[in-house]
Formats: sequence, C-alpha cells, structure tokens
Amino acid sequence: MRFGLRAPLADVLVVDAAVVITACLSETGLKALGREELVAPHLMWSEASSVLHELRWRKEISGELANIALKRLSVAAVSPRRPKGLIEEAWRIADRLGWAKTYDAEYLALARILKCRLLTTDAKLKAGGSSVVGVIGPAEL
Amino acid sequence: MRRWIRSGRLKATRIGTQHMIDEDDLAHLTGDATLPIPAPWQRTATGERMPDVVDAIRSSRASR
Repeated sequence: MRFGLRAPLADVLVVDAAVVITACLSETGLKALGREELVAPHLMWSEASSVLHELRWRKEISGELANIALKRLSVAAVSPRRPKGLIEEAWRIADRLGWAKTYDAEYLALARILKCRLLTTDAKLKAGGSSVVGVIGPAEL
Repeated sequence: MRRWIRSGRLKATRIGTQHMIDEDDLAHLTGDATLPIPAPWQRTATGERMPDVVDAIRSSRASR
C-alpha cells in the first residue's frame, strides 16, 4: 500500500455492496457519492454482480435495469483494496461481534485498516459495526 | 440479544464464553433492515420501485 501517494485518509470512504447496488440501480447512479474517494474490498464486486444477476433472475428487476446497473458497476469510481492483513482482521471482527460469517466483517476491517468510515444502507451492519469503526448511512453524507 | 438467545428466539452456538450467531437470523428479528436512503435513490433508473437490496444480499449469502 502506498498511503503517501493517495488522498488523505479522512477523505476515503469504504462502500459496501448494499450501497453500491442501490446507487447503481437508482435514477442518479453513484453521482451522490462524488465527494470522497470510494474504496471497497474485492468482495464487493462479486457480491454486487451476483445480487444484480439474482434480482433479474427472480424478475424483481427488469433485464434493462440489470444491464444499466451492471454497466454502472463496471465503471464505478470505486477502487478495489486488499491491504495486508484484511482477511485476518475480518476474522477477528467477526469473532468479536459474534458473527458466524465474515462478509460484513470484511468491509468493517477495510475501514478499520484504512482508518476511515464505512458507508452502507444496511441497518444491521451499522448497528453491529459501529462499535468497531465509524459506520454511516447515506443520509449522513 | 442475550435474552433472545436464552428464550430461543435467536439461534446461537456457544464457543467458550462467546455466542456465535447468524447475521441473517438477527436481521429477521430486528426488522427495518435498510437505512433511510435519499429521494433520488428511492426510484430506479427505469422508474421501477427500488427492490430490497439489503434483503437480496442477505438471501444471496444464505443460499451460497
């Protein structure tokens, strides 16, 4: 990681799949998140594309909307990050919070390692993860 | 949460002094899964109602 060449850490925001999918599906896309440098663990792209595919497969969204969202996801101004120790930190956070899975913990772990906040639309993640790192919803931007 | 575990409403496995729970089970109990989203995010690019994205992620993870 070359922290010195990037924007100050306070301007970085980790985004999870829930907020990125919502933005990609929305009328305005990711424009509302333009002020900060957005980053995410690699997991985010796998989760987002799989969920978009499943929403279309279940006919909860149209094929047209799925294509728009997938295109936005592929060009989204979000940088993938996998700092050293990410998986181990996610494991520790899941242990600490008593969570069986490490998916949510991975987003929290990235924010913790980068010393920044996590943006999500997931109320449960905010409620549980706020004891580990700053977690905010879109209304707090 | 301990009360839910003791009463059987929330499934948990005890490992040492810690209770391990499944996030999906917790989400079902707590309700209100999605935080307030701004108005431009409440409708989709094609004018449809925004699906429940948080629930879709939880379901997707549960069925893996």
